[in-house]
Order: sequence, then structure tokens, then C-alpha cells
Amino acid sequence: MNKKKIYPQWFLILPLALYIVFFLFPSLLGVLYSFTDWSARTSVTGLGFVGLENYIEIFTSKKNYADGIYNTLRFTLVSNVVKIIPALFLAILLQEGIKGKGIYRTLFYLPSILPFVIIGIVFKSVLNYNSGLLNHSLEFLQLGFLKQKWLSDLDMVWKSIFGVDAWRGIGYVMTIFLAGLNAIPKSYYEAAQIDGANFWHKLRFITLPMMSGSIMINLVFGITYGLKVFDVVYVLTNGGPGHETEVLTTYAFQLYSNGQYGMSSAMNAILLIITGVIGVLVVKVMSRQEVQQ
Amino acid sequence: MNRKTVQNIGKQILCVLLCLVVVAPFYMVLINSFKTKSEAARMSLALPTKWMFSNYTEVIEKGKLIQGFLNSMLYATVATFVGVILCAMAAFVLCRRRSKFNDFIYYFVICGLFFPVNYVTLVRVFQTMNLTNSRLGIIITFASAMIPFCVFTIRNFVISVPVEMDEAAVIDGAGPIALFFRIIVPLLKPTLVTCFILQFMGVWSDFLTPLYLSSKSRLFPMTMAVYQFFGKNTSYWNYIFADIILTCIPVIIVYLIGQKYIVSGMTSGAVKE
Amino acid sequence: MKKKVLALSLCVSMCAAMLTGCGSGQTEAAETEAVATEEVAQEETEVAAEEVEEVAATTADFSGEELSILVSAGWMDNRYDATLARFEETYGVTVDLQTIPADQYSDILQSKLDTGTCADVFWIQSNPFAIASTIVDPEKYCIDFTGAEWENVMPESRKASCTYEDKLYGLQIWHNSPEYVMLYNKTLFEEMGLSVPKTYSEMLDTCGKIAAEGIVPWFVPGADGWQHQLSFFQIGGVYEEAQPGLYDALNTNKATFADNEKMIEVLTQFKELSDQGYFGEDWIGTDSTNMSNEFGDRNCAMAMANSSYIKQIKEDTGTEDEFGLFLLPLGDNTYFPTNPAGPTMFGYNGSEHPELVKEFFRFICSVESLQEILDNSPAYTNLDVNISGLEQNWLYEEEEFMGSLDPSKIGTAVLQSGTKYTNDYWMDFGADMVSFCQGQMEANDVLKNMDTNRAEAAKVAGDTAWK
Repeated sequence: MNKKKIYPQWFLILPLALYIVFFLFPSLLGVLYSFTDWSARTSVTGLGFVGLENYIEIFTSKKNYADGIYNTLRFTLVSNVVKIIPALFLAILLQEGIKGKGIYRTLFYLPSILPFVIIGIVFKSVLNYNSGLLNHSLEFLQLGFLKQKWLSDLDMVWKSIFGVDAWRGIGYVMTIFLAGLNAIPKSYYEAAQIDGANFWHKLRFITLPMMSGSIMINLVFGITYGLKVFDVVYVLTNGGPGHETEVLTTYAFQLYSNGQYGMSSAMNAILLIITGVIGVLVVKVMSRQEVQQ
Repeated sequence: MNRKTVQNIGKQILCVLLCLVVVAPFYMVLINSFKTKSEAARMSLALPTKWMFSNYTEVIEKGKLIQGFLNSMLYATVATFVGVILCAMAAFVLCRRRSKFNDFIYYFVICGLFFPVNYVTLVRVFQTMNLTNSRLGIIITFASAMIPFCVFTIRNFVISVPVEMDEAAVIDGAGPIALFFRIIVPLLKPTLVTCFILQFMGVWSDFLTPLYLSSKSRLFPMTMAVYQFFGKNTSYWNYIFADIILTCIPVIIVYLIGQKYIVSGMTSGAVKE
Repeated sequence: MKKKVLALSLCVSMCAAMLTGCGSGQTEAAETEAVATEEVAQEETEVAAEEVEEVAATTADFSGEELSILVSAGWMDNRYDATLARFEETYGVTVDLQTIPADQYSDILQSKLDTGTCADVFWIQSNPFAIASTIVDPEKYCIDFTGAEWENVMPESRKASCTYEDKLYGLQIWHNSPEYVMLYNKTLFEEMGLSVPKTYSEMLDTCGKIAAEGIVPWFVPGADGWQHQLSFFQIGGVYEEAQPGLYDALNTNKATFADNEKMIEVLTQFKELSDQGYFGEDWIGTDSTNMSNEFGDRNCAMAMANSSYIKQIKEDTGTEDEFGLFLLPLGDNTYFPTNPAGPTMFGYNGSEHPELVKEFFRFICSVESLQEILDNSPAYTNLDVNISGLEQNWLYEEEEFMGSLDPSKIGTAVLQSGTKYTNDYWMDFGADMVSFCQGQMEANDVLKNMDTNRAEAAKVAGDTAWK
């Protein structure tokens, strides 16, 4: 078979051109700004090259930018665990013959279409200590002792953010898993059933290996989402109370708003490096497994 | 009662509970969209004391929602359709014709997942090409931004489509374009539709890109309208909620339609048996 | 099947909703199209016409042109709508109003100025230092309005926010109502036999009595992130009084926030009220969404608000209670929060039709327009302008309060408008204040951070006093 003929290289030209000109090039240009003193004053003073000064400033500043990096990493880890595992089981549950699965699928996906502004408004109300729906429900269920200051208690606020993030994101992750599950032939399970395999066996030896593609997709998207997380934190706490929930992007946003564009670009570049390293690692590990199978 | 029925009941209860958790905030938005301004600010789950259906007509008029809806629809449909098809073509070739060069291209494209968008430089690029203030420019931006995501997703599924399919088609005399559109696209349906839904939603809710790329409010998408109802000291919560309901409906419809295709994409496994 | 039904019914309901709005929507679309075609024709004839007759500014000159306005949500509300419509009609132009989400506004504006794609008219939240720090290069970006006939419509105190190096760039039409003073439920106070607290210890006492009734004494919407710090900044006069010359010293880098005893005192008092639960059980997690209802329901007795908020509470809730205003007594303050700041309009220098922009500013400053803007402002009772024939709508409560003020204690501007670079770090300071109230930070560290931030801003601005 002539690969050149049936898989023509020109299929690549248009997407690649679009990607380079309208996405990669402007983004790279943005990274370059991190080595300059680009600021609100630039229109007067002109742009100057400052080397690594912005990066040094970030790591030596009195402000706890390092905490922001730590929080970002922690968010990435926790938010993915609390979304991917439940979403996987939900997808399996809905893939099997359960009554009304179509309706459930639709409903579970709904939260991810709500704009973040609204999520912020609604959940600030739901999580309000005195008048919020959550604390009211807990009281109604005689679980008053579980009442919390969800968005201001320093021990609670991250958990609330994880909760809201999972509320929003599980349906999205689940949809990708569903697409993956649908690609697994039913006959595999039937054969396993005959061999007397239980649920966990089927999960371990059929579902997970056959789903490696969608697991990788969810991991990579989940990790990039987690590292770039901004909206959910911004609308719920805006980095507060105090600076308890600051992440890299909220710091970058503040710096940008204060006219320190160069510093803000440097913050984004640090994020880019972290995301890149972790992303490449995940892809490498996953594709090695793919080869082994 | 056997074990299976108990299990099924358990599963149903779990699903219903989860649905309640998911639906409660939606119900809150919906029910409050029919209330008066100050009643809506309470965000209670109670029924409105007076049903204000006029909130919807007023929002449509004040927010110029028709225009916004048409813009959003244009951006989301065209950009997503073009983006997904182009990416499918690229992913197909990148997966089938493995070479050092193509693997490099693949990772090169994937890198895009990690890059933050820089609007200032983007606007500069568009200015030099005279593409600011045009719907085309906005569509191109959206389509380009989804390339890393889609190429990555679709390629991971092309792997699972057996090569034998291609060979059979080629023996039947199909050219590359016929092979791709007649054989491969139908097999990739669940993935393509998933990509379409996720990206459609992304474009639909992104108001920053059009905002930076245009300085004409007639190019603004539907999602921008809601901000008119926020004030510094007082916000029109009834309008805000009504606007959100209207803005969400198109995405829900796209999901409802798409969902069928995700589920019916079963045939892709047929050949493997 | 069910899915189809659901999808269908959603479709139908949406279409129905859309159709009901169509009446207005469609005509609008048709109008813009008509204007667009007209535009071309007009331009051609205009060139010819101009050559023949050089008439002095007739209204026809601009017909077909489009004036774009870039503004943050909440700055124009709907109170300019009627005036804009009249402007369109008078000159045969269209106005393209772009309302940007408040939290994105400054980034969008900077990007548009930077890339030269700004709207004909843009707004900033101005104060006497804001032109230098927000617009940075007004000569490049702004139309010079020096000598415009509307210059004196603005009182001197407002003009300071609109001029830079003796050139007039902006137009600030804002109200002169008491902004962010203590608003209280007068009826409730009377029923409880309470009088207005004049000192901090009286305030503490009053709060205690109100809290004992199960009512939140002072509603502080901390989750908004920008409101609670008002109680520190609005009483600038008291800091200046404790240390005369403080503002000048802060502006020339000869004084710091840190170690200022009065400021530490105020912060400590704020924390004490917070610790006592007088702001409500969870003020840090509560936002202002439901504030007017809280007043109407008598769930709270006081809050920092604008005088016009009284009107809003009554409209929103239909309460029979009467409300009043008093000066925030933290730090035993007796000063009125004079604030010559407000959203301000500027003309963009790169505009394609500067004459139309100038005409627009003139148009806004006519008595007719100003009256219209005032009457269409649900939240404002007056406009701070020098123009005869304008009928102000002062509230009785406002007049009562303004009349009770000591004239010698009105002159000092609030801290965020009287000192450079302070306002830029409003949100940071608010976050630090919360950290302080939660015991994560010391009061003096909150102030130290402000110094650090201001120094950074001074560096960015190339301020020589900080070198």
C-alpha cells in the first residue's frame, strides 16, 4: 500500500498553518515579553530587555508567589482525583443498562455549560453561612453539626473550591469516558462473563486497558486545566480569604491589572514550564504503556 | 428480591441523589428568573410570589440577545465545525503515517495545550493582517485555538480504528479524500461529536476573544449581554438569571443532539471482533 | 424518545422566547443595515457638499457616522440611554455602546490603547492621580479639551481628576451625595432607644445592644472583596488630623503607612468588631447580593453605603422603616469622606471623527442632557455640576445629614484619592485586612504591604520621590 497516496501529507498544511500563525506565534511572542520591563509606562519609556530580572523578582519577592505555585500544584492533584475517579464509575454506571441513563447523562453534563460568573454568584449564595442552601439543608437533615463557614474558614475554603469544581467538571470528564467506553466491543465483556470474571476483574483487565486513550486525554486535560485554573477560584474567593487560595494565575492577573505586564508574563511563563514538563511526562508514560500492550 | 434488583435500586437512588445535587442550582437560577429584582436577590428556592414572565422579553430586548445569539451561533458552529474536521484530517495522517517528522509535528501541536493565550500579541497579529473587527477573524481565532485539543483527542481514537478498513477501502478504489470522509469520519463519530460538543461549549462561553478582537458591539457574542445587568451598587438579578437560562439553552440542545451520536458510535468496535 | 421530546420542547420554548423579543430586535437589525447603506451614500455626497458650502457646524455634518463608547459595567447604567438616543437622533449618527465586565475593563482598555484600537470615547475611574497612573500618556491617547465651553460645568474639585499638566482631558459628571458613610435604620434605633454613635466606644456599645436583639449590627459584605476596606480608607481626614501633613508626606515618600499609630488603631478596632461578631457570623463569606433585603427584613441595622441606597432599600423591599446617615466613628472620626473621584469620560485621540467626539461632550453638558441623565439615574439624587437650570433631587435624609456636618471637616479627601498609588492596591489591602482579622497577619504588616506595593507602583511610574 502506498502510504504517501492514501495518507497525504497536505492534510496537515491548513491546520498547521492556522495553529502556528494564529495561536503559537502570538503566544510565544507573549512569552518573550517576560524578559522585558513591559509595563503600563512602556508607551512613554519604551520597551527594555531585562533578562531574567522578572523571574528573580518572583522567587525573591516578599509576596508569597511560591505559595501560589504550591497551591496550583495541590489544586491540580486533588481536583483531578476527585473528578476522574467518580467520573469513571459514573460513566461505567451509565454505560450499563440503567433506566433513564439518557436523562442522567444529560443532567450530569449540565453544570459544565454554566458560565463561571454565574457559578460564582450561585455558590456564594448556596454556601452562605446564615442563609445558604447547603447549611439550611444540613439543618433540615438534623446534621446541623456539619454546618461550616464554607468560604471563609481557612480549613474549609479549599474543600469548598474542590467541591464546586467537581460539581462543574465531572460531567465533562464523564463525557470523554463515555466516548471511550463506546469504542470497547461488547463481546469482550461477554467473553469475560463466561470466564466468570467479576466487576473488578473486568475493570482491571478490559475497561482500563481499552480506555487508555480516554484516560490519557482526561489526565492531560485535567492537568492542564488544574495548572491553569483561574475562574473557579476567582469567582468564589478571588484568592481569599486573605491570600489563602491564591494560585499562579490569580497572581498573574493581579500583576497584569497593576500594570506590571512583564512580571505577569513571567508568571505565565513559569506556569507554561511547569505545565509543559508535567504534560510531557504524562504523555510519555501513557504512550509507553500503550506500546507495551 | 435478588441481588441484582437491590443493586439496581441502589444505583437508581445514587443517580437520583446526584441529579438533585446537580439540578438544585439550576432550579435556583430558573425559578429566580421569574421573580422581581429584589425577590430574585434572595435566591431562594420558593416559587415566585408573582410570575414575571416579562423578565425574558425585557432581557431579549435590552440585551440585544437576537444579535448576540446569531453571532454566537455563527462563531460556535462554523469555528467548531471547521476546527474539528481540519483536526481530524491532521490527526488521521499523523497517526497513520508515522515518521520522525510527523511525530515531531504531533508533539509540536500538543505543546499548544500548555500555552497561555496572550491577547495583546494576538491583536497585533490580526492588525497586521487587517482581520480585526471582522467575524472571519474571530472565527479563525477560535478554530486555531482548538487545534491542540482536537488533534490530541482525535488522534488517540484513530489508533483504535483498524488499518484493515483503510486497506479495504483503497482496494475498492477510494482516493484519500473519499477514504477519509466516507470510511474514517463515520468510524470516528463518537470522538468527533464529543470534540464538537466540548469545543462548541468552549466557544459559546468565551467572550474575551471577541472582546479583544473587535471594537464593535455588534460583533459581541450572546454571553456578553449578561454584564449589562450588573451594576456597582445594584444588580438586576432577575434579568441576569433569565439571560443565563436563554444563553444555556443552545448548548443544551447541541448536547442533546450530539449525545445520540456519541452513544451510537458503537460500530467502530465491530471490525475488531 | 424522551430526549427528543425534551429537545423539541426546549427548541420551541427558545424560539417562542426569541420571537417575543423579535419585534424590537428585527427593526433594530433593519435599522443598522439601513444606516450602513446610507453611510456609503452619505459619505460620497458629503465630500461634494462640503466643498460647495462651508457651513458652520450644522448637525448634518455627522450623519451616518458611528460613535463608539467603551465603558465598564455599572458606570453608565441605563441613565445615559435616553440621552444617547437623543444624540443619535439629533445628529443622525449611531452610538455603539460597549459595556465591558467590570473585572476585565482595565485590561481591555490597556490592550485597546496599546494596540490603537480604542473606541472614540472611553472611561476610567479617575481621581487626581489616575490620569498619570491609568492612562499614563494622555498626550498620546486623549483628545485635548482645554478651553472647551463645558470646562466650567465641572466644579474645581472634579477638574483635578480630569486635568494633567494643565491640560483638560476628561469630563466627570458624578453626584455629590455622601458616598459610603454609615447608613442606619432610624426607626429601629428609635425603637431600641439608641442614639447615633459618635465615638468608637459608643459604636462598640451600640453594636453590643443591637447584637443582643439577634440583629447583625453592621452588615459588611466581605466576599465582595472591595467593600470592607472602605471603613479604613473613607476616614482619611482622621489620619491627617492625627498627623498634619500626612498626605503630602505620603505623596513624597517621606511618610509610610507602616507604624502610623492612628491607622493601626483603626485596624485594631475593625478587628475587635469582627471578633465580637458585630459584622455577622460570617462576614468574610457573605457578599452584598442580598444586602437591601437584609435591611428590609431588619436582619441588619447599619452598613456603609451611599445615601441613595436608602431609596433602593425602600424600592426593593417596600419597608416602612426610615433610614439615616452618620459619619463612621472608627478612630473617633469626625470627617466627611470627600471624594473627588468618579467614572470619567475621555475622548480617544486616534478617533476617526474627533469633531463628533467633541460634539458629544458638548451635547452631554447641556442642561437638557444633564437633567435627563439625573432623572434617569435610579441611584443618584444630584449631579455635582455648576450649571444653572438643573433641578436636583436631593433626598430629605441627605439634606439633613449634610446640614449636620461641620464645614471645616469636609475639605480633606478620602485616603485613596488623596494619596498616590493607594487606590491601585485596593483589593490587595482588602485581602490583607481579612488575613489580619483571621489572625494570619499583624496590623502593621498590612500597612507595610501597602508601602511595598506603593513603592512598586512608583517604580513603574518612574516617580522621582521613590528613587
